[in-house]
Amino acid sequence: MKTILNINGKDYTAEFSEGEKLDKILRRLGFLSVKHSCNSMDCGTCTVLIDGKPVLSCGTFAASATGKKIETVESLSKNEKLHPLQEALLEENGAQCGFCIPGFELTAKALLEKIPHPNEEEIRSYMKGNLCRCTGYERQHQAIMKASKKTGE
Amino acid sequence: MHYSINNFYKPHTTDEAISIFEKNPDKSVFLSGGTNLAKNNLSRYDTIIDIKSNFKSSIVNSENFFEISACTSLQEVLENVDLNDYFDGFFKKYFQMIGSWQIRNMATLGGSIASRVGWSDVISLLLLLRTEVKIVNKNEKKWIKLEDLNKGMKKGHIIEKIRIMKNGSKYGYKRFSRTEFDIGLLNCGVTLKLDDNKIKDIKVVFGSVPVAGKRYTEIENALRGEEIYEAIEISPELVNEMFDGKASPFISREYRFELAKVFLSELLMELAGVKL
Repeated sequence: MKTILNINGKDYTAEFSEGEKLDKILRRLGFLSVKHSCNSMDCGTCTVLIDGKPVLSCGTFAASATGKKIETVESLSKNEKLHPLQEALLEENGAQCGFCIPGFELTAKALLEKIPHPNEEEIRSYMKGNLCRCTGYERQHQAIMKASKKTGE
Repeated sequence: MHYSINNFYKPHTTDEAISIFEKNPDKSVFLSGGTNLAKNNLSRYDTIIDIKSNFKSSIVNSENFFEISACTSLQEVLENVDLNDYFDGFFKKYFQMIGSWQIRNMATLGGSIASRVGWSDVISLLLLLRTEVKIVNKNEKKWIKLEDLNKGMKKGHIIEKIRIMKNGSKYGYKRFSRTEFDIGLLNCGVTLKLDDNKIKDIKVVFGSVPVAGKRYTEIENALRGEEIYEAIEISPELVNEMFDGKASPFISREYRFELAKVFLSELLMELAGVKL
C-alpha cells in the first residue's frame, strides 16, 4: 500500500506491505534513531510517540499509524539546540552506549508533558518499559529530574 | 513482516467490521491494540481488521455500573478518576502492574479480554469485579458475564463494550513474575464481604495456570459462611485440593501451589485487616 505518514510534523509518502510494522518503515524513511531490537515489545528502544503517547513501533502495524502524528527523537532538537532533556542527559552522564537513548528520551518527554515535576517513584513507574544495559538507570532518572526543573523554570 | 497480509481495513463501526470479516472469515483477524497479535504468526491470515484506530474510547459512569468501550486503552482505564474513586484506587494500583506505559497505551480493554491469554492480569482483575461484556457478531448482540466468555464468545464475535457493576466489596490482588515488567507466572485475586467477622461473600480468582484467569467457585463455596480466622487457617488446604495449577517452562507445579497458598491466605488477612 502507498500512503502518507505524518512524521515529526511533516508528511512522508511511504510504500509498505499491509503486514509491516512501523519501526521498519520509519527506518526505511531515514529515521534511524528508531531501533529495531528485541522485536517483541520488551525493550523499549523502538519507542515513538503517536498522538503524543509513547508506543512500541515494533508492535504497531504501520497501516494503523496513518492519519496520526508520529514523533521520533529527531523532532526534539530545534535549530541545532538540544531539548532540555537531552542537555540534562549529557550533563548527568545519562547515556553510555546510547542505543536505548532515543526511546528513553521520547518516553521521558511524554512523561514530562504529562507530569511536569515527577517524583522518583513516578519516574521509575513510567520509565520501566525502557531497558538500558549500561547505566543502571540512576543517572537517567537524575537527568529527568534535572530536565523537569529546567522546563519548569 | 507478515507477508501473507494483503488487506488492512480500518472500519468506523462494529457492523462495518463484522461485514468485512464475514467476507472471508477463515483468513481475517481483528486487531485491537495488537500487543498479542503483532507477536503472533499471522501466516494463516490475509486480512487484518483494525478495530481500534477509528473507534472512540469512552468510560461512562452510570448509576449502577461503568460502561467502557472495548477500544479504551488500559492506560485510560488506569487513569480514569471516576473508576478509581468508586473502586478505591483499584485500577491505578493494579493496572500499573500490567506491562509498561507503552504497552498500556497500545493494549485495549476489549482486546485484552478477547485474546484470553493465560498470563493476562486484565481477565483476572475484571473477574474480581462484577464484569459483563457485550459481544456482537453478524447474528446477535448480547451481554454475557465475563465468567461465561469461553462458552459465549466464538470466532467472528467482537467485544463492543464492557460493564463493571458497582458494589461495595473489598478487593485484593497479588502477582508473581520474574521481574516487575515481565508477565505474571501466577496471579491471585480475592473479593471479600464480611458480616460480623464471617465471610458473607467471596470471589477467588487464579490466573496464569497456564489458562486464562478463572474463578474457583469450589474454594469460594468452602469459605463462604466461615469465620475469617478459620477461613485463613483452612485456605492452604483448599488450595491443595482444588487449585489446578500446572507446571510451565518458568515455574514448577509445586512452586505454583505454594505461591497460590501464600497469596490466598495473605489476601484474606489483608482484606479482613488481620495481622500476623
